[in-house]
This record gives sequence, structure tokens and C-alpha cells, in this order.
Amino acid sequence: MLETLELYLEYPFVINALIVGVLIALCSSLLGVTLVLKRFSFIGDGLAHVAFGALSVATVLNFANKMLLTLPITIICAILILRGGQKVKIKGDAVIAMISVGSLAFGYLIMNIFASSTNLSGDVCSVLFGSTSILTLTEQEVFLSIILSILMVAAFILFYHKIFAVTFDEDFARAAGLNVDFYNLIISVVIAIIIVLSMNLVGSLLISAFIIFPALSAMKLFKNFLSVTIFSVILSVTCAFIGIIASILAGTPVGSTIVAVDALSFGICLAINEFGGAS
Amino acid sequence: MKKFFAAIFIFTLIMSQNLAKCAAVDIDLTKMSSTMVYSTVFNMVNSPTKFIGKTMRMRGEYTTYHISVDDPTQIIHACIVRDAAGCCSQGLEFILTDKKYPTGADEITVVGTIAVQKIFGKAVCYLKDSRLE
Repeated sequence: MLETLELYLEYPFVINALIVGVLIALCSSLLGVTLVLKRFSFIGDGLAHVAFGALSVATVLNFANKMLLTLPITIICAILILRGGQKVKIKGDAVIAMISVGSLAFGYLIMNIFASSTNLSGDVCSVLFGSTSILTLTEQEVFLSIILSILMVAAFILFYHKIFAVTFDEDFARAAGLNVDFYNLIISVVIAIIIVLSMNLVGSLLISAFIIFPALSAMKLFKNFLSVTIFSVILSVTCAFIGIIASILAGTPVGSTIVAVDALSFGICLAINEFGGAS
Repeated sequence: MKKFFAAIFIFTLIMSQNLAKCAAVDIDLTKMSSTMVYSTVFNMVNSPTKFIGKTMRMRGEYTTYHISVDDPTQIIHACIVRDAAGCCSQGLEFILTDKKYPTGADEITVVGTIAVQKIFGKAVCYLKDSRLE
């Protein structure tokens, strides 16, 4: 098995997949804790469907780098859902559900009407489940993913204390003079970037699991924000790495294998919490 | 004793013929998982220049395509591989040296050298000097 793995690692696209996969796992787990605590777990799913719709438009318009269209549209929708959603009459989960299914249907519809590929079902399947997307990245996409990941980690470290305050008690943060709307805006933008990056790794239908599992697993073992965030990052990166290696060795779809490893790790953390005792 | 050595000789002869058939290649897709097979062919088709001149063995579904509506004799012979989920497929053209192509759709193992040709101004990857195993 090690010989086979050694052989696979000679291919640059496998190394690229591991680098991008680990970086995406790192970024998604950083914000995963905030999303779970702010009760926005399902927002990842909604935004992923928005990204699918945008990606369909980019595919139909023959964009060389589809991320250039997908990213701004997802960011705008993230802002609308997280900030605008509080001011309109249709609220909360209804807005997410509406935008989510609307985008999914719209994306699939225009891909069918203006199909530019002969293998439409394959393209849709790949985007929804991320079967091999991470192993088929172009050098431009790899470079862009690395830059965005570095920016995201830098933003999280820079605004760590503000994000912490906004995550736990918005009213208190506002009373303490913090510009809560601005930091919610930053969270929205960062979430949108994570979603677009994660689509390459696990596909748009599996993104929620990828963001939520590491955070929930960490919460089973640790009780303070910093410990939960750090353990969530370590767990997510480890699961992504194991998932990618397992999928290329066993010949299974990459996205679902990573999520299966995440689910397994959650089961282990749950068992430790039940029978061991968390710190 | 003579019979024993004769048997050993025949066995060695058969094995060496088999080994010659499965000669070492630069990229052996038959030894890879389905995820790696699909990804390798996908990257080969999209960035062919990195793979030019390498020998490759691949196993997949044999199929033919007509490339011209006006001339039905212009046919591409291709080997198709699928990803782990089975929804995405990627094909690679091959040109056999003996021109004895399979008669029906079937699973084939083909060995050849990766080369690039221009079709409608686009660099397209294919296997030249190929043979079936």
C-alpha cells in the first residue's frame, strides 16, 4: 500500500489536492465553530446551493476561471442572508431555504438549457458531490485557493477577539461599542469564500457536514472557544488528509470519503465524551 | 530429470512471453484506483504537454466516434474510463500499429505512447504506436 501511495504522490495533481484540501479544511473549521455557535449551521448548505447556481452561470458563459463569478455572487448572497435577512419580512430559515432551492433549481435549469458539455450529468454530479474535483484543479485554481486561504486565516487571527465577542453575545458586543454589523459582514464574506473553496473539495451538497462535524466533535471534548477552535482545526485537517489519501487508495469519491471520516471522528469524540470525560 | 528441466524451460518461456507482453510503462493505469485513473486521464487531456513521450497502459471501455459528418470513414478509436462515482467519464484516442481494432464494444487494455495532435486548432492528447493486450 505504501508503494502505491508513493507512486500516487509522484503526480503533481495529488500533491496539489493535498495542499488545497488541507488549507480548505483549516479555513472551514476556523469558521465552523462560529457558525455552529451562532446557530447558522444550515447556512453553509444554502450558500453552497447559491454557489452551484453561480457556477452553472459561469459554466454556461464559458468562464476560464469559474471562481471569478462564483465568489462575488456567493459573497453578495451571504451578506443578504446574514445581514439583510434580519431586516426583511421573510426571516431566518425560510430565506435560506428559498435562496437555497431557488439557486439549485436555477443552476440545473440553465445548465440543461445552455449545456456546453456533452456530459451534463457528470458535470452536475461532480459539482454536487465533489467526486474528483479536488484532483482536477488547474494551477491557477490551486494558486487562488492558497491566496484566499492565507487571507482567511489572517482575517481570523486579526479579528479573533471581535469574532469571539460577536459570536457569543451580539447585544453585549454592541453595548461595548463594537461595530457588530461590520464584523458580521466580515464573517459573511469569509463564509462565502469558504463555501466556494470547499465546493472543490466535497461538492456543494456535502459542504455543511465538512464545516459542522469538526466543530461539533471539538465541542464534545472541549468547553472553551480557543480550545474548541484549535482542536476543530487539527481534527478537520487530519480528516481531510486521511479522507483524500483513503479515497485515492480505495478508489472512492473524495468528497463523501472526507465527510465519512469526519462523521467517524465525531462518533469517536461522542464516545469519549460519553464514556471518558471531556476537559 | 530431463522431463523436469523441460517443464522448467517451457514454464520460463511462457512466463517471459507474458512478462514481455506486460512490459514496464511510465504510467500504468491498470494498477491504479478508479479515482486516480480518472484524475490522471482528466489531467492528461487538459494539460497534455506534461505527458508527451511517456508510455502508458490503460484499461477501459472501447468506443468509436465519427469526427466528420461528411466522411463516415473518419473514425476515432477511444478508451473510456470512469470516476469512482461512475457519473464522469473521460476518453483517450489510441491508434493501433497493426490497425486491428476490436469489432464490438468491450473492455480493452491498450498500451501506447502519449502524443499530441492538433484538432480544430486545439492540442488533443492521444496514444500513438499502440497495441492491445
